Amino acid sequence: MTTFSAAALHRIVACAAGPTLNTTDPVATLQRLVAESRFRWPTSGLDEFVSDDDEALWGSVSAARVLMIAGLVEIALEIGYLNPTQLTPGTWQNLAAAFRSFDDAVLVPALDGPRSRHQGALSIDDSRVYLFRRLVGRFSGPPAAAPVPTALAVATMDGFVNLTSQLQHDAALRLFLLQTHSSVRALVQDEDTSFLLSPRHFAAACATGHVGEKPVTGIEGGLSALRFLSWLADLLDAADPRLADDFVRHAHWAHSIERVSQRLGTWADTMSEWTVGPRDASGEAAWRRYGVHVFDRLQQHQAHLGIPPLTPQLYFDVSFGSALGQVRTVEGLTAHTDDLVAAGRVGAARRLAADAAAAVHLDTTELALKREAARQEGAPDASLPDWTGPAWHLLAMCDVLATFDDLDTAAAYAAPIHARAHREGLAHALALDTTGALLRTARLTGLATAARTMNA
Amino acid sequence: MSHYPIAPLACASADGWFDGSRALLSMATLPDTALVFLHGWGGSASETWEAFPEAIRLSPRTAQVDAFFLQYPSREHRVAFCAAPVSAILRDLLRHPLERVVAGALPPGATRPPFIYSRVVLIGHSMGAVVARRAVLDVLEELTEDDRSRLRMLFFAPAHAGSSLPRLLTSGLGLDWLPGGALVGAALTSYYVSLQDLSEGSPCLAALAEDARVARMAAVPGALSAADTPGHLRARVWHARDDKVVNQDRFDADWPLQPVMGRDHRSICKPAVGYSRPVEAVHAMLDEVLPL
Repeated sequence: MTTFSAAALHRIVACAAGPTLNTTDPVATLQRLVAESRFRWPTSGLDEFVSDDDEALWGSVSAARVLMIAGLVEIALEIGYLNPTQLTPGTWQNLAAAFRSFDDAVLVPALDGPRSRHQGALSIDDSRVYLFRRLVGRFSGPPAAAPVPTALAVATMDGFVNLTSQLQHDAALRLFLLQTHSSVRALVQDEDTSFLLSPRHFAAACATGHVGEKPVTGIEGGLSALRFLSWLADLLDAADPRLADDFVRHAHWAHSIERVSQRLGTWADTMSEWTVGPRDASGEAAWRRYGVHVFDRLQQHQAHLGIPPLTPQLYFDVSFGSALGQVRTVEGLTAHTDDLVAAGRVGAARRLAADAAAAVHLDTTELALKREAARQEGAPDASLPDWTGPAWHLLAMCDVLATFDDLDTAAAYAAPIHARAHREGLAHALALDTTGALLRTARLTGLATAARTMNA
Repeated sequence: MSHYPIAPLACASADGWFDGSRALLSMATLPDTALVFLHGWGGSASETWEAFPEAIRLSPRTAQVDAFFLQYPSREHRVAFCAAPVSAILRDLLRHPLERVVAGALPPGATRPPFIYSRVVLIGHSMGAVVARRAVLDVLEELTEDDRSRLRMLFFAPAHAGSSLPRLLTSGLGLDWLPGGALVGAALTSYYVSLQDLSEGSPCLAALAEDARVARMAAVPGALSAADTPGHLRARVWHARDDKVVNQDRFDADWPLQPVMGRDHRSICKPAVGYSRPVEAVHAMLDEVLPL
């Protein structure tokens, strides 16, 4: 007969081990993760959400997963959700050995050794280390008698494990969080302006992942974040205070919550400025209630526990690779499009303009990211990459796109440049007057469509 | 401990359809009831029913209850398509629960002797209610009298009388937390084909009503009142006062609706501190005396 504790251990390891591991033996899974973690140090960033493919670049996914499992095991032991005496013989000893091995080979060097400049240093006050050390302290003697858990504690712990499991399977949420906690997050978040132009642009991004022909990321994950954070807040409401403290410590993904609230707050602010019909007072009130119930209470709880912020990191490669064969200048583009239009191929001309804008958008973004990364490395201003040259061409291409009535694609590419230029004080250099008019037109068109849909 | 930890549900008939579904299985040797939860449009098995596992664990009344939280692609597919696999799992739960559904969700090493549920309750929220009823009507002919006598339906904010599509979208995607969410919902209606089924007067809902009426008349020819309708065709229905998403008209021979104050379309099915109506609704289903 399988005991509850055996089932609980299996569930904890399976949920935190991520989608790539599928074994029915939780101890073997843990041992494998520990073995993979050796010499790959966890950081105080969001390693657990980096995809396995990027592990070599940005840190140890496995080490972060071991810390995640350790934290859940520790909380489970603390409340009696997991009872060592109910595990099959040898399981407790094997768990102890695996976690001790991780401590010696991974955690201690991570806390003491030199680190890459790109990796946020793991610190002793990291809440995951706190839970891990509390767990390791249990292994100094025979397993202590487990407390008899209350039904409420079991139920809320079950919910927390379920929440942690669901997080691992939400790729959009993981991307959103990595963007939001990136060291170049302001540049990444400029991209949000593409879908915030109007309800119609937001809807298109929501349903298709594109605004016009520009791919956009972040929107699906942002909406997921709203749901997961609300779920976490509900669990904190239900749990007793000490258990709630441990949930907050363990919910690493929700730390530095002010960055998430700031990004989503920008969405809410922009959306509340959409002027179609009467003011959305109930939506504004719902957002305020959400802020109080979720963001404020999490921020206060994290501050109360002294949880340190997540270290911003560069979670993605800033070299995108050039789209070869594409026109890169507006002069080159107009020469081609004029020929195509003269031949009666207006659709082909529009397509060419959209492809050119996509290529130059990548160039511009890559340069802007490299500039920001170099600035953070301390490079002198004069040596920083300049993104304004291709940006000027991109904006001019957006005007070309607009002449082909592809206002949505034009606005989607122009909006981030517009936001970035204003933020970096480069509006004058990029002569954004025309672009501003283009964005206003796109916004008004989107609003008018939304109004018609509402009335229908 | 009354139940094992929540586990992924992998049932034999699903063919991958229910990925993301969860099961909360009783540790009792012979559980007597299966609760099958179906989320609404854009919802999820975990988030829509997030508080129910806790409620089930906390009540001695549900110690012998297995709960199945089904995840289905509500955004991408229409009602009839979503209902087909629900019909299959319903048939399995009534006939072969252990080998076809439960075994795959039991923790490693755990076993149960062969058993049959004495009661299977479909619990739907919003679109989930429409999918649940469609699934019942579609599988009806395959069910024996005994199967039917063990089957019941409980709905929270069902969309079976139609709904405001923009508001359904806004709620389903979590946009109702954001100002301007209703505008986005309005703009989104053209993107999701599954939504058309849930608009007032849609062919899908008209067919659902007609099929329900035909099934009722076939079950009790010449029946004059709703009270004559057998239990498997009559849903218990709960509606929230602040629900602006779904129409709250009575459907066919369902029981008179139960109003809930201070709740909206999203929160009506979420038990919380000071709000136990959803749990009471489930308990009432367990209390109902089934025909022998």
